[in-house]
Amino acid sequence: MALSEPLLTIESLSKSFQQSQGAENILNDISLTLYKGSIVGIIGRSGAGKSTFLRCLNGLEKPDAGRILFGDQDLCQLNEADLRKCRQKIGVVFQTYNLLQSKTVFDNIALPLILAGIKMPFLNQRVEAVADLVGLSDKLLSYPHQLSGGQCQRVAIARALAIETEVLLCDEFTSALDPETTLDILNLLLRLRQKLGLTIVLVTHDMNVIKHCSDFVYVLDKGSVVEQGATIDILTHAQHPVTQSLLREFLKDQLPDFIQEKLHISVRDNDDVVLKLMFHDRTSTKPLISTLVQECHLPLNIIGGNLHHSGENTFGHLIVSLKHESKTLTSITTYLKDNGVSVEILGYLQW
Amino acid sequence: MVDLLVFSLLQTLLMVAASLTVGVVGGFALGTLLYRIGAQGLRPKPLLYRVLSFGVNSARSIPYIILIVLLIPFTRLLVGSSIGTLAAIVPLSLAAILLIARATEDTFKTIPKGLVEMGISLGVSHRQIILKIIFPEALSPLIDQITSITITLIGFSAMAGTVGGGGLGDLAIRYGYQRYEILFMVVIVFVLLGLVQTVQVIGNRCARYYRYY
Repeated sequence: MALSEPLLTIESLSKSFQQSQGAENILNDISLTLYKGSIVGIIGRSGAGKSTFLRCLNGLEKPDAGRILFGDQDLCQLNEADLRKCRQKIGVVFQTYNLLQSKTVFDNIALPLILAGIKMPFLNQRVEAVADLVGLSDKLLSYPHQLSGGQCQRVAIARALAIETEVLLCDEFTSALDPETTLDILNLLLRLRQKLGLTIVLVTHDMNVIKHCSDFVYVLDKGSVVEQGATIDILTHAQHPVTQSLLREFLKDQLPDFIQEKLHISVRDNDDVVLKLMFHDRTSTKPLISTLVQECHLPLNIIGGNLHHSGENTFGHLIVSLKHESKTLTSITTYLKDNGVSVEILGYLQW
Repeated sequence: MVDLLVFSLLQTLLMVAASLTVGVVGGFALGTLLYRIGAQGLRPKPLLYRVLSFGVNSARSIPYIILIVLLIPFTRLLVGSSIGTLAAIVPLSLAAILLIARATEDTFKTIPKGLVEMGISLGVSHRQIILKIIFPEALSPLIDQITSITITLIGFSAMAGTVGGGGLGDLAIRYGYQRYEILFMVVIVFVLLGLVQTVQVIGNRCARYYRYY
């Protein structure tokens, strides 16, 4: 997507907490830029510092060093009154929803408006408008305990959007939801971005969330950004071990154990060769495999595989085994490589 | 006998209602302050908190009848006399303030921290976080607590006789105990029973009203 103007610029943000054994660095010199209308994912394992990073952005923690530029204002330098004004433009959605149990959906969504001193009838209009946006128009008079987790999260999103919000920060906001509801909520975010030009930061440990909606990914480990890039690049060409290990669980591109145990590195007579074919963006639409089978008269045995979609990109892998003959192997490898599919020989085995 | 009973009942009601009113206002203010400056609060002030908290605890640990006596000079200063119903309201109010302050602080502390953080991230002042976020969430359990405290105050008011405050407890002691009039004793016990029941039922209704619907 086309990059627009930067909305939020973070420059060398650092934060440490005093521990009994001395200061512990939670965030280490983190810099990133949020462009207007983009969705940025921040992924990392528990304890990587991603929540602390988000808490610095919305002012719940004060960073030790660095700058957070929102427009032309540095959030770290503002006095309390100006900071409060800025925070109203930055909405936050929490993992635990944080709804008032004693108030109806309407009152929960209206809370930021009431606190900002906005009166009826505009209050009413605004609440109904955002409730409609998140699909909760028929639940305005319900109480949070009568709603499902997904609906609660919608209320929280509506509340975050009630005031003219420019940035939405989401802290592990799908962790408590089942996969289907997660998808619903993620699609809602995509719709909101389209309708409102909202800029969204997603902090998560779930690659699915990243894959589904973010344009850009930052991988955090031990308080530092270890890898960053466009989502599709990170998903298909991850370089850093932390990213790779996060991806492994998500892509499920490993062989099952019982096959892995049979694999050996050197080839013997009558062995099958096991190949991993990796499809990257835009290559997955061609009928490569059937062409291969027809042209080379190859009996292919499919062992495993997976295709993923991220935005309009498709990528994935296929693990196949076939009779080992060095000549055919070279020709199919060349054929596939010419068509943008990389081939990796995982090993040899006797079935 | 009926005249005496009605008069004493009115005295009890006056003492409890007055001290409860003072207690709710003062106790809520003190409890909110304790919550704000506590370790988990919005503006932690450890030293002040320790001093106040110690004060509240030690005042609460003085048996009520002793508190009445201890407060006599203060009572005289405040209402001009240390004897009578008005004088009995002073120590009762202090007890109410302390009990409600502690209950307010404890109830506020049970509100999930996430709600406070939500308020901060909305860019809201501390005052509004307490009034518009914490208070509505804490109201229902707080009403439950205040109901129990009211019943405790009814119990305490029985000791008002010590400073000539009158009331049902005093009547029961003077007529039922010291004059061996069993009927007085029985009737007063039933009246007190009814009073406590009524308070409990009203309290439960209010708490339920503010719970979810």
